[in-house]
Amino acid sequence: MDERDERQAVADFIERIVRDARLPGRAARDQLREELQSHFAAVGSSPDALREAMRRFGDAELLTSAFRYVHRWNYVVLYLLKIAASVIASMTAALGIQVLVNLRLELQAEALRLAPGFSKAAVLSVGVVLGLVTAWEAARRPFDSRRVLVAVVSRPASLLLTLAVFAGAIYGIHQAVSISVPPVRALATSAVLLAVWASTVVILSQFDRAFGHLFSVAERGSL
Amino acid sequence: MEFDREFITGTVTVLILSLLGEREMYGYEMLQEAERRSAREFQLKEGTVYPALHHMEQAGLLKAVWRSGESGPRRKYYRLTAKGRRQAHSKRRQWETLSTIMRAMLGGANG
Repeated sequence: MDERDERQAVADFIERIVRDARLPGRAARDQLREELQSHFAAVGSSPDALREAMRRFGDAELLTSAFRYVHRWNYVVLYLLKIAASVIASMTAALGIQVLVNLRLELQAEALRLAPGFSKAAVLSVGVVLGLVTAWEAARRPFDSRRVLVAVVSRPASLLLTLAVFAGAIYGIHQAVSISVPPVRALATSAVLLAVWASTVVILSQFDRAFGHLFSVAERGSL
Repeated sequence: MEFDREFITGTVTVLILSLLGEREMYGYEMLQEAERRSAREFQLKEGTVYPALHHMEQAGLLKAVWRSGESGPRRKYYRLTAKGRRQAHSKRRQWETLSTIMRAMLGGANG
């Protein structure tokens, strides 16, 4: 490997550490990245020196788990705050959507109103989304709504299929408990619930960024 | 010389507190200084020191300050807080007492 390759290997190593350490807040991640970069800058630029410096860091998995352990309470507190704020915002969004739908359909409310138990379903669905995002964050990289957006835009057929399956499920469940819900109403309910999900995901992601900036200001202020 | 991990675990905090008791330092500087003082007999590992620094910062023993050098990127310097200085004093006394006891016991066993 030449110097350029070794530098790239170091950059990849640093990014892996920063990503897997899962520090709460963008500022904390940026600072860890900068600290590690300054370490490797101090080591020198020869390929041998860089390789030796990486070797001395030891097992990357042990290192990142040590960082995760050190910052675990910050992560938990941050995430609880984020969840609480997201639940409030998502409930507001869900209620807003329902109010809008009810106002628009008031004249034909009986014919076109959303499926029975919509409010409970909306609350439940927000809970499901939050649970999924939490599981995602616990198991993988920090959540990023842009990745979801890219995934949806690049596969619109999947979105339509999801909507159809979801509408079918709502229709089937209501049939199973002997509640009459026309297919059109099931489809409308599905669309609104999916919109609630999407708003929940976007809001959650935006709060993630907002908290990141909040930490950024706080940390810069303290240094 | 290679040391068992169980020996190293308890010493990293003492070493960091001791080094920073003299002056503020950045991570790489601490590693170099520890190596120099031990005549390269003892190597602190980066993978141990950086998480330990973050842990001690979280615990309020250290405060970090970013400083720009004459050349190269900014460096994160660590220094002891008042709590850290008290901890350094306490740890040093514990270590010296333990060291004295261990020498006496090991010496007694050899004699």
